[in-house]
Amino acid sequence: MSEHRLDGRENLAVAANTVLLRAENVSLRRDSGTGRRVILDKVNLSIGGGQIIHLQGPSGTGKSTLLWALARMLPLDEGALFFEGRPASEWTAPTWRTLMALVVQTHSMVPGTVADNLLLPWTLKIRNRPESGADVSRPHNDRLRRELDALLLHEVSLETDASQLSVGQAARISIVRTLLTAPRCLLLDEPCAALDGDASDRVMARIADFTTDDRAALIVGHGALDRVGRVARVGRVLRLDSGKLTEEGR
Amino acid sequence: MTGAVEIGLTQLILATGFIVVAAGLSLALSLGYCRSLVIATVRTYLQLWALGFVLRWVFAIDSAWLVLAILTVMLIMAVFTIQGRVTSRPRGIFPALFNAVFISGVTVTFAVTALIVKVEPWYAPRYVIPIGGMVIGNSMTGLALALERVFGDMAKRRNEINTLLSLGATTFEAARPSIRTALRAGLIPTINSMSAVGIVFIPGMMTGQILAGADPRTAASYQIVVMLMISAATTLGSVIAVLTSYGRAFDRQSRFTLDERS
Repeated sequence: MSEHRLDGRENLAVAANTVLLRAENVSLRRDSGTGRRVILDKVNLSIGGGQIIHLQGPSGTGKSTLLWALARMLPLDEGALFFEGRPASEWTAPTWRTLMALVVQTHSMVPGTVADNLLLPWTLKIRNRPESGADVSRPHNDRLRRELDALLLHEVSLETDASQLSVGQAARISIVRTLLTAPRCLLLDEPCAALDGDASDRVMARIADFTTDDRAALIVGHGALDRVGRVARVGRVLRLDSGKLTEEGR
Repeated sequence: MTGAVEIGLTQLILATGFIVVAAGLSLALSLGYCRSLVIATVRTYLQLWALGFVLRWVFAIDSAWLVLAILTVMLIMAVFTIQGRVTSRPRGIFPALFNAVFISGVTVTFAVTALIVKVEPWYAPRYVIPIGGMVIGNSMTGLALALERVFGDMAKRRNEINTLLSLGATTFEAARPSIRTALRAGLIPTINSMSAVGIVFIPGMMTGQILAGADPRTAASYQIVVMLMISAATTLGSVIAVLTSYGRAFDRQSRFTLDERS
């Protein structure tokens, strides 16, 4: 079986916890100027509970595409995804995305205040239906305040108009927004791209704090490596190059 | 209709004289629109004369099938006109548009002729064709605006839509702000003309009735009915068109695919 090829060295770590997400022989091609370009070529991946994984690779190689594919935000050409051993088709796409939460790189704020943006997930039907499994209760304002402070957003009021935020502030607020929904696996695309050192450290510390035994995080980011290594309990490094995913030794 | 002053050949020639003056001005000042002005004038003559002949023939034949056939042709022309105006659209919205135009056009036209004007027989061409034409023609603009806007606005909200989807939103929840914007955009021209009517301008139909000798109060009542049914048809048509076509911007797995397909 090739599906656990990547976990050869990690078997002990993975076995200690549950495997949250498994991607099996995932291939993905996209139209480019010169025809169909292979972005992911039979990629196999297992993410275990408690893991923080850093995804590396040359820019333009499709790291973001992999995150989008894992969140079922892009169609696969081949392969399958499993959550806790069950095939992805057992969940609707919206429910799957509450489990595997993608924080996109273009940190988009909706019109309204910072509080409106943080509570945006609770305006959606899926969080008001107990059977969806996404019924995380709506956080109160003091919780929102604490989360903002934890990411050095002291100067941002809950009543601030979201259109007035800087790129770095919006980036952190969109991370908080997703963290509040308590997904099982966080998929972060360049979370520290617009942040200075201190803010980046706080973001990585918050993610490490979030990643308990039954949760995981997969992070794309050039500068994040040191910080992942420093704060993570389980730091795995994966490398995506020319469609192939390989595990890097530490 | 006794008060109508007959327009004969002399009157038409006199009216055309003004166009000759305008064309002469264009030539003298090298404005360059002489040719298009002449062509437009010829088209006006031909198209309206043809319409006059056709309507006279249709009124004389007085057949329900013929009236329905003419309404169908008008509806199909409207669908193609709207489709031509909506530039940024994904593939496959034709059925949605077709349903929207047919349901709103037919429902509102016959609601007016059967329930308000109470024409006898139900297909009376003298009423059904002009009223149907006004309903379809005037609601077309609003429908095109609403459709254009829903896809244009979603394209602009790309990041926001993907953010919402990644938080577990359904396609409707992700598209909702654009749907609202689009329906508002489709209705604004109608609301504007409802507000300005009678103060800023006298609408063509009322003018026509007055010139034909009708009591201005009767003409006003007719015009009120027409304005209301145009806004009803625009609302109904836009709602159907937008609600049945916004989903074309997504695939079956609730992924936003607008750019890739349009």
